[in-house]
Formats: sequence, C-alpha cells, structure tokens
Amino acid sequence: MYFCRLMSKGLLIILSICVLLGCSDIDNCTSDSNTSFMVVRFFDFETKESKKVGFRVTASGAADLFGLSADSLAIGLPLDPLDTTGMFLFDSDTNDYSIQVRYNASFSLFDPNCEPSLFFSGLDTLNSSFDSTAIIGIVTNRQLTTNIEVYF
Amino acid sequence: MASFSQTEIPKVKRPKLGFHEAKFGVNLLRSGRTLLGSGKDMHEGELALAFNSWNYVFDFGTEKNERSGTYSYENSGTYFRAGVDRNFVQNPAKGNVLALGLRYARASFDDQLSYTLDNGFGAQDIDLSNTDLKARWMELNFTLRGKIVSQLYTGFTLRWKFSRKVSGEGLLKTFDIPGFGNTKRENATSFDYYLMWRIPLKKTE
Repeated sequence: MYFCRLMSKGLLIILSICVLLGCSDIDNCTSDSNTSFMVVRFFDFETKESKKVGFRVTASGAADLFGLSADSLAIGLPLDPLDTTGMFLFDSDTNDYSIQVRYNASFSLFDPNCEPSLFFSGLDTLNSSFDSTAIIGIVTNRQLTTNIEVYF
Repeated sequence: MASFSQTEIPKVKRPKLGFHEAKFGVNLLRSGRTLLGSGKDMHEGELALAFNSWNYVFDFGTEKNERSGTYSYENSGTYFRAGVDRNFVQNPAKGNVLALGLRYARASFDDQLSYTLDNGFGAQDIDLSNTDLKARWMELNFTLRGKIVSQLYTGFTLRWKFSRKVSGEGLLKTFDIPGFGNTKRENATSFDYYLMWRIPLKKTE
C-alpha cells in the first residue's frame, strides 16, 4: 500500500511535468536558422547609401554562375564547406571586382528528420578590390540580413 | 500564580542506521528500447548505498545511436553519474525511497556523419567524425523506489539535466550525448525506470 501511494503521487508529478515539457518540443526543418551561404550587400562608397547593381558573380570552384539583375541590393553566395577560403569575382559591363573570404564550416543535425544543417562562422575578408568592406555578421544565419557590406 | 499547560509535540527522531543497505539494478526503459530496436543500443546499471537518510548513487551506462535518412549519423560511448539523494521516507530501513538528489555526470563518446551535399560546388561527399568527445553535466533528480516482493524493488527517477558542456568537437557538432540525450536544447529531461535488488548490510528490524 505504501508503495502504491508513493507511486501514485510520483506519477502525478511526472505526468504534469511531461505535459508541460512536451508542449515545447515541436520543431520542423524550416525553423533551422542556419544558412549555408553568406549575404553580401552593396553600398555606394561616396554616399554610403544602398546601391542597386547588376553583376555576374563567379565563385572559384563552383559550377554555377550567379547572375544579379540590375536592381539587386544584395546577393547570397554559397561557401565551399570542404575549404576554408573562397574567392568571388563580380563582373559587370563596366567594372570587375573580387573578394576573398575565410571561414570555418560546421555541420550539425538540427533534427533527425531533416537534412544535416550546414553553417559558417568566423567569416572575414582576406582580400578585396572593392573600395571598402565591412564584416557585419561573422556567422551565416537567417536572423542576419547581411554578412559583408561592400562599398564601391 | 497562573499556570499554563503546555502540549509538547514530540520530535520525530530518525533512526541512526549507518550504512544499512545496498541496491543494484538495471534501467528497464533503456534496455527495453534496445530490445524494441529503433536504432538504439543502450544499457544502464545503478548501484545505491544507503547511509541513514542519504543514498549515494552511481550509474554507469553504454549508448549507441544510429540515425539515417538522406544521411548516416552514428554516435556511441559510455557515461556515468555519481551523486547523493536525500531520502524523505519516515523509515529508510525498509528500503523504500522518496528522494531528491543531485548528480554529476560525464560521458566519453565519438560520432560520425556521412552524406552527399551540393552547396553550389557540385556533389561533395561529406565524411566527418569526432573521435574523442567528452561531455559533462549536472542533474537534479526525483527518485521513487518501492518494494515489490522479498528484496526486489522497482521505481523511477525523473531527471532534469543542466549545465551541459561538450569538448572535442571538430567541424561536426555532436547531436547525441550518451546518458544526456540530444543537444537541441541546453537542458534535457528524462524518465528512467529501474528494477533493483536490495542487499541489507545491517539487521535493522
């Protein structure tokens, strides 16, 4: 009897706590805030205002060419997870620019039902032919709208 | 002279028992999950030494998790917990336990992830592993044990795990920690159910 009383009191406490904790354990793949690309945003060097541009962007080692329409303010550029540096060439009809960045890749499981999550941290510029650059966010994350600002 | 009658409430004295019993047993839920499959292989044993109203508890376990989908993730290792419980039952000599306790836990493990990724650089085979991972955490435990028959006892432990720290990670951030759970949240909870055998160390009745 004593054991039954102990068990019934205990189970009531357990069930209450489990109900409270269980309610907060709902996730889906789209709530993963990590991103596998960095965001480069364009600015006018003189006015420091956002600048609309049209570029053809090539990443060294990448199979694809990233095209930007003439009124783009920013571009998301993928990084090679098997490397720690990346070179990007920005080609327009009038000017060519380049920027080299370094980073650290990280892999994790956000949720067992989702694809493994890839993100980059420690983002920094090594070289750039833009007039000026500024690192705004060193981690690739959905909550950041900009990783690198380039001024030209 | 006025006289006052005073009713004294007798103070309940807990008997001084010293080291009066040892219990050892297995975690039925963990072994049960292994038998039922689901990519988990986990076992855990517990040893508890009772000293007056205090129980000194040591757990040791092994755990292997295999997860797959568009990827393959494996994680395996061992862990232990050590700590003390305050038993609140009126007569601990009977072996029943209603206790709150604290544990310090450590795990040694490794993990690996394999999958094919296309992040704009063509199909890339990703094979990552961590071979010497360590983790430590603390636990606040609520424990209940009761007698079934003879010296056979059963009961559960509810754990709230906090203050987690993992070291030894490379490019791959670990998902599972043996004995702790997954790393989606900083803290974790778990419910463990034990079957235990009691060995009286003193004649107390």
